[in-house]
Parts: sequence; C-alpha cells; structure tokens
Amino acid sequence: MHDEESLVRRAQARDADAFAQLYEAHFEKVYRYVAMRLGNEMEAEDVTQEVFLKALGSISSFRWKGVPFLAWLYRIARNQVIDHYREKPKTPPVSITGLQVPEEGNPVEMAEEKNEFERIVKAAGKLTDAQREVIALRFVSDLSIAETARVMGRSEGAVKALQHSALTALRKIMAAGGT
Amino acid sequence: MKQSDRFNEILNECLEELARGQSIEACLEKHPEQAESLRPLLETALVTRRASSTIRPRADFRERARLQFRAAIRSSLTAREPRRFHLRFGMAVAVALTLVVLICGVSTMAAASNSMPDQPLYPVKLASEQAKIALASSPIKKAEVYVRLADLRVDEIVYVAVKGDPRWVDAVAQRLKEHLDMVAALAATMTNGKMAAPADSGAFRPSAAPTARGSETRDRLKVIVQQRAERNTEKLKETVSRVPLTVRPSLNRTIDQTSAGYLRALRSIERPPERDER
Repeated sequence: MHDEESLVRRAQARDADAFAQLYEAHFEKVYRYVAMRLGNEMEAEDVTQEVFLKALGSISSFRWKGVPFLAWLYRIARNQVIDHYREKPKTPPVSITGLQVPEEGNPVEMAEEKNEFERIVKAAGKLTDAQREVIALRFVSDLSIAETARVMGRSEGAVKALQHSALTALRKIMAAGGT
Repeated sequence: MKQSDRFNEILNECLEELARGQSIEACLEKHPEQAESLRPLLETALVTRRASSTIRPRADFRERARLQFRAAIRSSLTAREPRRFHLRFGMAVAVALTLVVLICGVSTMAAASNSMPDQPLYPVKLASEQAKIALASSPIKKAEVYVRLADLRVDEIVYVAVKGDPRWVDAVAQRLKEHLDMVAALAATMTNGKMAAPADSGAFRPSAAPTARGSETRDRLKVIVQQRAERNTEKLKETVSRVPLTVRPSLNRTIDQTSAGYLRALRSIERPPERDER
C-alpha cells in the first residue's frame, strides 16, 4: 500500500511513469468490473477507457486517506456506468459478446468459466442496480465491505444487508434457469 | 442485534474467510445452525468470484487503450511544461516541417493536402498532419486540430466508400476513431478549459477552481464538436445510398462508431473531471 501511495504522489507530481504504472496495475480490474456491470464487451471497452482518462484529468484532486487508489477508480467507474445507462437506457445489460479468457491454462476449463461468467452476468442483469453493484464490487473486484461501502456511499451494515439480498436473488435466478 | 443483522454478519464473516482461501465446509462447521441458508449463498459467491477472475480485455483493445492513454499522459504533461520548452519544441518541429517542405516541394505539399487514401501522396498528408498536432501548444489547440482532422477523415471515408473498397473504409474509420478518442482524452485533462492544476510534489490540493475563461474555452470546443458531429454523421448517412452494397456494412459500422466517438468526446468536454468527494 505504501508503494501505491508513493506512486500516486508521483503521478500527482506529473510523473508519466507513475501514471503508466497505476494504469497497468488497475486496468484489468476496472475492465472486469465494468464488463460485469454492462455485460457488453464493446461498451465495457469504451467505458474503461473513459474511466482512466477521467482519472488522469482529476488525479490532482485525489487525497490519500488510507483507502486504496483502486477504490477511487471504482468510484469513477461507477459514475461512468451510471452516466452510460442514463445516455443509453435501452441497452440491455445482458448482451455479452465475446468476453475474452486468457490463453494460458486449460482451454476447456477456461471456456467453461467464461460461459459461467456470461451466465452470471445475464442473471445479474435481472437484479436491481444496487444488487448488481454490490456483486460486482465484492465478488468481481474483491473489495472489502468497508471499501464497497465507500464506493457505494452506504454504511457497512447496509452493504452487508444488500450483499445478502443480492446473493439470494442471484441464486434464485440462476437456479430457475432465468439466464 | 436483530436476527437478520446477525445472519448478515455471519454471511459476511464466511465470505471474508472464503476470500482468504477457506473452504465452504469449514465455515459451515462453525455455524451449523445457519448452514442450510448459508451454503447456497456461499456457493454463488464462490462461482461468481472464480468465473470473473478468468475474464480479460481483448489483446488488441488492451494495446490500443494503452497507446491512447500514454498519448493522453504525454499531452497532459507536455501542456504543463514551461512556455520556453514549447518554444524550443515548436521551433524544432517548425524546422523539421520546413525541411519536409523543402524536400517535397511546396507544390507537392499542396497536392498532398488534397490527396486521398488510395493515392501516392497520402502518406505525406498524414506526416504534415502529425506536424500540425505537434505544433499545437495546448490541449485545447491540439483537440481543435484533431477535430479538423476528423473532418478530413470523413471526407476520405465518403471518397473510398463511393469507390467501393470496404477495407479502405475500415482503415480510415479506425483513424477517425483515434482522432475522436484523442479529443476525448485531451478534454479529460482539462478542468473547465484549463489544464488541471499541477500538484506540487507531495502536496495534495484540490483541483484548480473553475475559471470563467476556462469555462468559455470548454464551451467553445463543445460547440465546435457538436456542429461537426451533426454535420459529419449526416454526411456519412447520406453516402449510404450512393455506395455499392458490399461497402454498406462497413459504412454503417463507421456511422455508429463515429456517432459514438463524437458522443464520447462531447461527454468528456461537458463533464468536469472527477473530484475526490471522500
């Protein structure tokens, strides 16, 4: 964490390498979060790019308070996703198109995991926006309850309750084959 | 503590343990009375976490995004360099441009400026465009250059589409997309028209306060992009009926991509950068 704080300080002091390192460190995580929220590869790509450009433009306003830089990026990503839906409300969040899996590893297992992810994204498309958000932050982005609460602007207790209702609903939809 | 709150706590405790590599069974053993309710929820969380960890961005997107981001970093930092650097850099580019003109000849340069993608002088046209971008001294000026270059690309797309070659349409459309992405990238590095305030090393301070002049600059860019977006999208749409059927899919894709590109640029211009609200 200390290293990241130092990187962020350097980026704020206009160090191009530090910017680039932060980008490389977090690009995939942000993409995965956005892909889960939007369920559409092309849109996920556009929004992910916008997140980092936005972060570049506003990094001087970031203040280090012990919360990971990634949580700040997720906050930007969350706002970008909300704006995206506002502008394209008719785009279904369930139209997954060709999300990629890495080339290394067992191809059959990877294909199965990809299908599983697509099934989850489709099922998540039937959750409420807040439920989808908590699933993405907790189980796709691996944020802690405290970090998730920060990003969502809710109390930790509220996030725990939401997490419960989201998992219950997701389980029901998937069990019913409603994907 | 209410019973539902208690369950939420136990569920969260188990989820944290799963994230640390513990098994579902180990958690259920600790809470046998809730095991039946916990198991399906923990399984769902585990499946979601495992499946999502395999998802990666496409390699070509990753590379394109990386290049664009690095270009945005360079633009952002270059614009913050002292004026003297700009003058020196501008002088160097001017000398290089002069040499290009001398080597190619003024008439060649003039002819190149009107050349189309399938013509021999087109690379000269692209090279002179790069010089124009390099000479632009601020993000707003660079953005304006990219907006003008986007106009040229649209004209070229119309030309190659009418000639009937979808490969050329796709190639020029990709360049057009890159120009519009750069407008978005450059706009994202501005706070209400001016560059974001440089942070002093180690000092954390909020973004520069919006200025009336900065806001005007942003507004001016917005108007220019809005006008071009409407005009160029319309121009491409009008071309569809005039091109061979084989080109139409490419052209329709280009129209969608161009509309989305202008929209991204406008969105980036309209929205001030994120502020840390924490």
